[in-house]
Order: sequence, then C-alpha cells, then structure tokens
Amino acid sequence: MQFIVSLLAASRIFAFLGGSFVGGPEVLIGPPEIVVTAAGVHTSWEIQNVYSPELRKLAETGTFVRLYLLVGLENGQGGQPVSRKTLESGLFYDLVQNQFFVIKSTLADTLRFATLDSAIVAASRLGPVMMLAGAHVDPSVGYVFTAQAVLGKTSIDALGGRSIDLMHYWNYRRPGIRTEPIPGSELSVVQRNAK
Amino acid sequence: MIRNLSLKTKMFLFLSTLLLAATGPLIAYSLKTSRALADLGTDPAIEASLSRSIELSGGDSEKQNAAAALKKYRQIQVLKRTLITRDVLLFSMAYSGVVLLFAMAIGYLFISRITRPLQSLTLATRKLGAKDLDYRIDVRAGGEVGQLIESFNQMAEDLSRARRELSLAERKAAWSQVARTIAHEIKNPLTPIRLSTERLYDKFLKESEDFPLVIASTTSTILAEIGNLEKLVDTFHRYAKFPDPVLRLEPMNSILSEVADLYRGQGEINCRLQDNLPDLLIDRGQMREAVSNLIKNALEAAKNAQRGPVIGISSRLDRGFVNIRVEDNGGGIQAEDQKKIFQLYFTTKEHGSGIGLALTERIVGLHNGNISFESTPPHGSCFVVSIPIVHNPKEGK
Repeated sequence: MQFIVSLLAASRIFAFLGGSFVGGPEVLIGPPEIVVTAAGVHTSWEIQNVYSPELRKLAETGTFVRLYLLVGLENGQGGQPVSRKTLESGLFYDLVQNQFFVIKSTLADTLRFATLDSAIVAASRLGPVMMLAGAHVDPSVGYVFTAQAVLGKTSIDALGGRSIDLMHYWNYRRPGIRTEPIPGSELSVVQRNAK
Repeated sequence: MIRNLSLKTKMFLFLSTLLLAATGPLIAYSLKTSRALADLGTDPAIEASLSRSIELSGGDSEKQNAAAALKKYRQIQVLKRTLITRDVLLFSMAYSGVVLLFAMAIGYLFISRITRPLQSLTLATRKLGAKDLDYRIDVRAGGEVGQLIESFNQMAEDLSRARRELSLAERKAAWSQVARTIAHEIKNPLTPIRLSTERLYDKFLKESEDFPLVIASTTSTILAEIGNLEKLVDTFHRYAKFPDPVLRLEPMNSILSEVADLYRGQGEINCRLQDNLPDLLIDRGQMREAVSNLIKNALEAAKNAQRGPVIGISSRLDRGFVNIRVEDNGGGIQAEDQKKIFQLYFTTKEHGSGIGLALTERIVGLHNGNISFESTPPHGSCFVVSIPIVHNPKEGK
C-alpha cells in the first residue's frame, strides 16, 4: 500500500516538472571572437538556439523580444574582474510593414529582415565591444573572458500591458561561458609585433 | 529502516504521501481541462480578417490600430496555453503546499494525542519492571488508550497490594520459622542442663559419696551448654541486626577474583569471568561475605572428592542481570535437605553454625537479587546469584 502511494506521489512530482518544462535545444554561447587592435581588445559573441519554437511563435505575434549578454574580463590569476559590459539586442515584428526589425546596443541603426530566421541570426550576434584598452593590457597576466545570456521581460498588450519574463522559454536557466586563460602577451599589439 | 521510525514519523510520511498522491489526479484533470479550454476559440477566419483590415485601412493611425488588434489576438493564441498551464501548476503547487502543511499540523496534533499516552505507558511499564510499584500514569486519554491506561494503573495497584501482602506474609512466615528454629535450638542445650541439675540435686539430697565428682561433671556439662546458648544468641543477634547495605557502583569481577584468591590454597579454583561487565550498585563488604560463604560451602562440600575440591566461579551478563555461578564437584545436596539449606541454623557440617547460606540469602535479597541452586546427588552443586543492573543509579553515603 505504501509503495503504491509513494509511486503516485512521485508521478505527481514528475507531472509538475514536466508540465512546466519548455522543450527545445539547449541555448549555448559560442567562444568569443577576439580582435586585438592598437586601441584595445574587442570581442564579438554568438548565441545559438536563442529562439525555441514557442519563442518564435511569440516573436511572430509582434511581441518585442529582448536579449542581454553580460560579458566580463577577469584577471586569470586571482579571478579579479577587469571589466564588465552589457550587450543588448531586441527583435520585433511589424505587422503593418510585415517585416522583422532588430536593434542592437552596439549599432546605431535598426536592421530590417524579411524573414524571422534571418532576423534571429542577426539578433543572436552581439558585439563587437571593447573589453580592455590596449594601454592597460598586462602581458604577464592571463585573462579570462566570461559571458552570460539573459532574456528580458516584455509587455503583453493582450494582458493589458502586463509583463512576462521571457526566461520562461529557457526554463529559467541562464547559459554561460568561461574561456581558458589567454596570456596577456597575445592581447597586446606591442608584444605581438615584437614577436 | 522505515520499521525503526517512530509512529509519529511514519504517520507524517504516510499522510504527506497520501495527500500528494490524492491531489495529483485532481490537478492533472484541471490542467487537461484548462488546456482544452485554451485551445478553444481559435478561429483562423478572425486572424485573416484582422490581417485584411490592416491592408484595407487608410491612414497610418488606422493601420496601427488594426495591427495592434491583430497583435493582441495572436498573443492570446500563443500565450493562452502557456500562461494557463503555468498558473494552474503554480496554484496547484501552492495549494498542495498549504494543504500539506495544514494536514501535517492537524496530523501532528492528532498523533500526539495517541503517542504521548503510549510513551507514558512505555515509561510506566519500565518503572514497573524496575519494581517501582508506586508509579501511576497521570496522563488523561480517551477511547481505547484511556482504557489501557486505566487498566495499567489498576494492575499496578493490585500488584503493589499483592506485593505488600506477600511481603508481610513472607516476613511472618520467616519469623515463625526463625522462632521455631530458635525454640528447637534452645531446647537442645536446655535438656542436658536440666538433666545435670536434676542429677546434682538428687545426689545432694541423698548425700552421695560421689557428690564432689558429680558436681564437677554436671557443672562442666552445664557450663558447656550455656556456652552453646551464648553462641546461639550471638548468631541470632548477628543475623537479626544485619545492617542495610551501603550501595556503591563496584566491579563484581574484582570482588570474585579477590575472594577466589583467598581460598586458592584450599583447592583448585577456576574463574571464567565475562569481560566488560557493567558495575553493580552493591555493598562491597556484604557481597564479599556472600561470595565467601558460597566458596567456603563449596570447598567443604567437595573436600572428600577423589581429585580434591575443584570449584568453578563464573560471571555473565544476561538480560539486565549479572549472574554469578559457584560450582563444586562435591556429592550434592540430598533431596530432603534442599528445602532447608537457606534456613537459619540449618547445617550439614560437623561444626557449622548454620548461618552462612541464610546470611548469603539475606545479603542477596537486600540487593534486590535472587539466589538459587541446582543439585543432583551424587553430582556436585551449583549456586547462582543474580544481581540486577541499575540504570541511573544513586549511590549511598
């Protein structure tokens, strides 16, 4: 009797978890593209599988979808933060123009796309952003790049302007990445030229 | 592992599991119904009409309004299912949590009403087992548990009364026996005293020639018997005025070893003592005397054995008692003597006082213990003394 009751209770817990789980492939942050110039160290990032099937449907309704990428640079030896930046992109569908628009914090212009797929590709690429000025690069130190992605909240007109947290579509899990330490000498133009 | 849990914990777990399982089907049903309702009301024609209205609208403002309407409609379509599912699940989790807490609180109160009296009953039973016959359960409870408590208290009262009556009867019987024994023992020397006095008087009256000789022999007899009477009185005095034991925690094995060493020269004494015996609450001196009496008796009983006296002494812990065994290879105790061996003044020895075993029995009784023996002549005898282990003992001064 106790075994049967326990089985029922366990299935109930799984139903809870299963009922609220949003399907779709895992969201991944790719390794940064690092560009070293005389001015400093710049990074660009690409996030994969941002839009699950359910989020795509929401985007197609004309709802604004915000994506944030929190990037950081750390001193690899002590883990002390060197710099932190927040990148943002937004995607929305204009029902009048029948086009998809993407805005980015690193771009002054708004990008325009005919299809959702191409808009998603653009919205999922963030940067470039300068993480460290060239004069501040220490060749003797190892640097670690970090990033964490978050979906923002959006207002739903059909609910009278009530906000919903779009992290629901990622099952409230924030994807992140942390690179291996990169020698400072590789991030310094002077050092690279010297080599 | 589940079997060793307390009744309270088991009931907790069972109630919680039952509640979780009971709400499961209800929530599943409401989820299914909600999703089904969410799927109703989607009409492609409405969406098509709203899309066309954007195209057909004249100015920008009208187009924006039409677009806003279409956006709302599509949002409803997409989000209805998601939001309803989430809301139903959140509500059901919160509701289940509240119901569970409430049920646990009620369950705790309810179960405590059963387990508390049962715990009192368990404690009372242990006290009764430790011979605390005055302990009564003061917890009030209804139903079957209440009846059980009443029955227990009544049983303890009856037991206490029976024990008092038995104790009184035993004391009366014991003193009757002692009085009879003393009377018998006193009569023994009185007879020769009387006969000697009568003989003396007779010779005196007849002015016999051997009167001086008779005086010498009869007074010698009279004085000897008076000596016996004095010894009798001393023995009785020693038995009757035996002091209450002064209790301290003592290791029994060390007492056994010490006493055995005293008598090793008189025979072969083998000790098999269990290690790590708990200390006993005893009077060391009195217990030494008791053990000493048993060993002396064993040596005396086996003095005529073919290979000489072989005495075995052992100690063992057994269900809350320390059992001490003293075995001998003598001829055993005859059946007709077995009922009398613990009586005061009874002895089978030529020069025995008859107090040894009576005193030993008295000492063991004062320690709430028990003494018994096994003997099948012509085989030897084995005396067993059992002393209880006392939990949370209070030592005497």
